[in-house]
Amino acid sequence: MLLGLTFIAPLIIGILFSFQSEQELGTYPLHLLSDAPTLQNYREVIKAVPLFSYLLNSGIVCLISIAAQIVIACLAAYGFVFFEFPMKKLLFSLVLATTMIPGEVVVITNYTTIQSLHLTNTYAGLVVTSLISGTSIFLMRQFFMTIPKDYKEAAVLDGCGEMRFLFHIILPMSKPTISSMAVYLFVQIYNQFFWPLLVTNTEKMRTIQIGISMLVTGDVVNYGHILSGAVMAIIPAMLIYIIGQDYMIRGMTSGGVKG
Amino acid sequence: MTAQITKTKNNSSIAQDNRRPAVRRPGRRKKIPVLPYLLILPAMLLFIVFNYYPFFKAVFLSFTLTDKTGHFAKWVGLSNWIRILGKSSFWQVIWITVKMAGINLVFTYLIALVFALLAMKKTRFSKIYQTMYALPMAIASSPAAAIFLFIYRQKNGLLNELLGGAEIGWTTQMPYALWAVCAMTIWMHVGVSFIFLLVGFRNVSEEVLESARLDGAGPWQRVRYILLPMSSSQLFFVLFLNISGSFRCFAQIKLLTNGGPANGTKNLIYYIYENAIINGRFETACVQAMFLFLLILILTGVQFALEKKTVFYQ
Amino acid sequence: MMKRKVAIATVVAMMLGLTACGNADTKQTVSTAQESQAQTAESAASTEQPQAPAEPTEVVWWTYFGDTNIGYLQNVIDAFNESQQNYHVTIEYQGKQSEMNAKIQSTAQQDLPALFSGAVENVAMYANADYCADLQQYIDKDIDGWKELEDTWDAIRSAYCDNEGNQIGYPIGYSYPGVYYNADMFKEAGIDPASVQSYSDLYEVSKKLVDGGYTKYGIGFHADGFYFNAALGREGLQAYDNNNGLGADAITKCLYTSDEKVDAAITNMLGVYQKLHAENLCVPYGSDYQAEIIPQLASGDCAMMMGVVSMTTKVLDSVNGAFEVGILPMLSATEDGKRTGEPAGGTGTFIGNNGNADQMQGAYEFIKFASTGDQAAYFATQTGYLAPNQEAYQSDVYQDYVKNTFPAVSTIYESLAASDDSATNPYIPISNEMKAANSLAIETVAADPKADIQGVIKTAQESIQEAIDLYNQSNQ
Repeated sequence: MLLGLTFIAPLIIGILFSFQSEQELGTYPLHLLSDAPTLQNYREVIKAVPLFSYLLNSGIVCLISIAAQIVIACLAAYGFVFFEFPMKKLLFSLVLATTMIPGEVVVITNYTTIQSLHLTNTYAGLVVTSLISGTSIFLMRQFFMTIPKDYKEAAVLDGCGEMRFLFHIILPMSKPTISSMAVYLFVQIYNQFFWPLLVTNTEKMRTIQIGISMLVTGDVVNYGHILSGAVMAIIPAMLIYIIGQDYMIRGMTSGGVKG
Repeated sequence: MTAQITKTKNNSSIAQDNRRPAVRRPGRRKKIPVLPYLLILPAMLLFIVFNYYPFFKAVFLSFTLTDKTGHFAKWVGLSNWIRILGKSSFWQVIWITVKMAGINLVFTYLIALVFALLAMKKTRFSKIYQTMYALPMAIASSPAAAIFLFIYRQKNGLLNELLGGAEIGWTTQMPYALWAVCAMTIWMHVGVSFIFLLVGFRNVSEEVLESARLDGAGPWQRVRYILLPMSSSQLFFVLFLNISGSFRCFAQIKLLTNGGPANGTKNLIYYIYENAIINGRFETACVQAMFLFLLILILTGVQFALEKKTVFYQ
Repeated sequence: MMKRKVAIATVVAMMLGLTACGNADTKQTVSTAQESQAQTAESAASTEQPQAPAEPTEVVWWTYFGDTNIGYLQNVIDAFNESQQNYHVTIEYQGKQSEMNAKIQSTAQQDLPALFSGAVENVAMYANADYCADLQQYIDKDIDGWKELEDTWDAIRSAYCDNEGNQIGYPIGYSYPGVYYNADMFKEAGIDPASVQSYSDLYEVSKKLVDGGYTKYGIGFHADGFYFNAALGREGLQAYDNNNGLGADAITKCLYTSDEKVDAAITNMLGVYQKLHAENLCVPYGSDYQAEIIPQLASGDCAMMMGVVSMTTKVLDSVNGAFEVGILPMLSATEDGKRTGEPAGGTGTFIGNNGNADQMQGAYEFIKFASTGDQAAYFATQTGYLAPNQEAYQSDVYQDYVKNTFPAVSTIYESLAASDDSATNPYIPISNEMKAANSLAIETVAADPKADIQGVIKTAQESIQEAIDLYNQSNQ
């Protein structure tokens, strides 16, 4: 318990500070507990930045991307694990290679691509680069490899089709892995900043991290605003995690994959 | 394992022989199966457009000079490579990159492992632990940096207060700055590794562990001989994730130190960002990116060579 | 048998589904593309007939100001939108300065904004870039004239011009480097603030204050390579050839090591940074000025801070009346400095060349509107930026600010009034690389009391020279 508390101490500190006025934060000595706690930061941030519509956009982007990644990654991983075909090794290496390409050099080219497809300021433009990742294919492949091959043999001998085997047998077994992948992807996509900044121009398409960045930018930043904005941005992420965690555990206890 | 693969191979070709003549065009009675390619196709198409194409463009640009908009201006052959690799400051950056990645990798992995082992046993509070250990990953780097700045402050910073009024400039003095950046990185990354490890451990059935306990295996032995081997595929994945991730440590550097003091925390990815985004020297960034790519490629290659020896698949 | 049929059917269905999915995807993409094409066509059509302004022309402004300043600017924008019927300005945040620049550089022409924020140090870059339209062509066409431009401080006006004197942009936030100080502490220690004029003075005063037990640190520095150039500018020196780039030709050489005077000035300045750090007389270089230095200034643990005037509001809020805050004009690198020029800092507005004449004209009208006395004074008093022209400076709002909020700022205006054109920012399109090299030089001597200053200068010179050469080779 103590270990856990120490670990999240920075977070608690951030939350405590978010209730202090800017003036209190700018002086010495710093108090953890405010002399005069205030909600002023929260009010000002909500007024200055449309955080709620940003949150909604982030939610939509995450939902589409995560769903797409689960489907596409499961299909690909299934192909890589349960089939033998020419160039399999090469193709898998190519998949892995995508995780090693530094994003900084591809992002500008991708922005140009999106512009030529006229996808700026659309959800399609926002999600299109995160519809798949080498990491999720690799994760699913790792899990599928722990499934005994006899399962498939047996299923196929029973006359179960290959796609049906995937959807009716493998996927239900993969629930814990899929949900941990979803949590991981959520964090990745929710925290994206530079890509959404590039492909959107209008306030109504912006995502939450751009809102947070607005609070952080400038010659003069208001720490109270940053922290209260951060707290508001973290709440949905936290809820998703807590819900996802329940699901993960349920999946795990009912799954009984190995034995 | 090899035996299994050959078995599957036979099986799947049998399966195809069973149905393909009936459904598919009869002319396509070849040994090469179509289905796996179709399964991989959607992923590959996306990769081609958004990963391989820009990557090959970057490879191409590394042999050119680019104008401020990042477009081809002039063909220069290998001179970029010679210019960049010939600089001692570049090798200093590589050294820092490796050092930072090493620290991040080792600590993230170990802490996540310990947390996962602690939280594995389901108790009344395990859900709370789980949430606590994983929570930091949900916080974006810029607000996290704002909080860490308060913690790292030289005067009246929480960390220095804890150390009894020390006056260490955590973000401004070496070697502290390197550790300060790493600490924040580790803090943010442990959660993800923790979750994957936890799922891996929980997948090991309790009966096996229980029977081992009854056979007189102590807690350490159970971890060493049952838990770790049985979740090795997950351990392997987390290692993979951390290798590429720890080389990518970037936002923390940008927000806490900007690569300082005196480039003491400037790693390769920050260098690439500086050239590609801040300075608009795209060809320089491309050369450096190729280098980083090769670095991670080699490490991952080593890792996969080890996979065969250490990872246990059923 | 039955089972096998089902299985086959499933596989077929799956495959069909898969291909159908693929088709649907492409179809969707195509239709979105068509839609947006239709949209561009529509907007193009609407610009062809500006004679029927049922709807005002939308002028988009990309900025890297944060939420606080956007809040103030929104009031200026609202006033503009209400003041006329033809244009409607919308401000859009686009990340930090470097991120926004990267975005603008790679955005297709028709998607560019008509108005964008840019740093004064980057004027040469904007002047050379296709995405920026020179303000001058609009000024030349303007039959009404622009009196605020005529009354703009020379130093700031010329900082926004190219080497031929064409106006490229106009400041919205005129920032000026200087040294904030704790005036009460100076009085107590018997130090005359006016005597602090050079880096050498800075060292003497810091030592006196710390040794006398008045404070823990003499000074804290806003860590930015900008001050390096500002000090050379105050010195009255040109660190680059071709008249610091303002001659007929572009810069080809960095003179850090080849010009004796420049070399001596930099050596002295870096020497002071090194001594201050070695003797623990300053807050470690690189400390965050908002989280670390300003609070120490406010608590009396630090006597001075080198910063820019746009930090004023933050400083005054933190100090909260505990003592009187003064500000000194930027120091010169050595005792011999002329201290008559004012290297400008801060942010200006520029017209984005997006090919839409109406929008660009609207951008010009807005820049002009924002420079008018009331508007410019309002923004300056809220943020601490300087009033860019006489109208703004003389306005009641600003005079009230000078009198009641920050009286010390008048020293800056006195210095401005006495300025000539001997000090300018280098007119250089690689200002980011230049700043990074300069700040690395300072960081190196600050971190290492034994660092060889000549070696440090040489490293800085070499990396700047390399950037200049690369730029000149790739942009001919």
